[in-house]
Amino acid sequence: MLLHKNTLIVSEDIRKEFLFNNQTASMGSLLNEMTAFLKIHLPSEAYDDKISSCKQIIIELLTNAVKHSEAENTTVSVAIGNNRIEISKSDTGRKFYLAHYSGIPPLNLPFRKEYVGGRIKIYEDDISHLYSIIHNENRIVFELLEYPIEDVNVETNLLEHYGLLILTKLSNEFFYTFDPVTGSNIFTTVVHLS
Amino acid sequence: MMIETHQRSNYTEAKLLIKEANLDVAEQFKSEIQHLVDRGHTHIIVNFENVAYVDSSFLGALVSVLKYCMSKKGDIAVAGLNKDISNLFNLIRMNKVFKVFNSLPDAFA
Repeated sequence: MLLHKNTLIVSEDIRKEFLFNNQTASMGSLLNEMTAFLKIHLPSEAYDDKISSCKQIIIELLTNAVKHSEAENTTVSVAIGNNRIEISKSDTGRKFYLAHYSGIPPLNLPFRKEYVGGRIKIYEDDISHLYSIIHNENRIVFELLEYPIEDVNVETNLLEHYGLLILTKLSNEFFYTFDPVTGSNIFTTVVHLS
Repeated sequence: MMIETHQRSNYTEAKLLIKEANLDVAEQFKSEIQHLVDRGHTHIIVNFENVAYVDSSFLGALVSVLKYCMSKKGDIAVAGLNKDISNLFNLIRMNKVFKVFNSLPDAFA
């Protein structure tokens, strides 16, 4: 591994999978284990902020698994290479859903071809709107629009669901893929190293 | 109890006694702060100095109690954030929603 002008060059991808039992009691120790793995392979202080972002991404992926997956186990994988860190979580539980959404395009994966390119509002408040864009029949990408924050007062509408927003904001790329062959749900985040 | 309270000059310090501020404790946190507000402690600074990480569920609970407190003409601030939590607050602009103190202030206006 070489570090040259803030660009990580690796001869081949560094990759490791971690198994999560979807119990909150295991989150802290798994987070520490995954952070240690990142620090071993990205020891330079130049990457401290990237590792901080990755820690929060891991926290949110694990929280998402506990809250929404309805699966017994989740595999979280970390890959480092090509000047980026890719963290993804995979399970065979519940497909991506929105509790109160019943609009068009319908959130039924795989999507019908006519809905590719469509946009689904996930949530909104006075300071941000989060959308999922239908990228193809089995993939959505997340997009965040932010608005200026003026005075916050009792009239301000603030959402109380931040998981997907945090993942979108911390990543350079964030998308969800449904694999119809294996029935797997895969959330993938990509953090660029420079 | 997951918070320890201390009466300061013109505010109440709610010191978190947990290391992991996650979905397991979010509802309890909400309940304890709401109880505090109901007893008249409307200006509260939540002290995170013991906390290693915060997840989105806990953050949601924090925003929820802020809204509750503001409805009682009060306010909630935070203090003692570690570097990772401080980065998160800045990135998702929670530092514009909450007053953020590095350490407990003499007074909370």
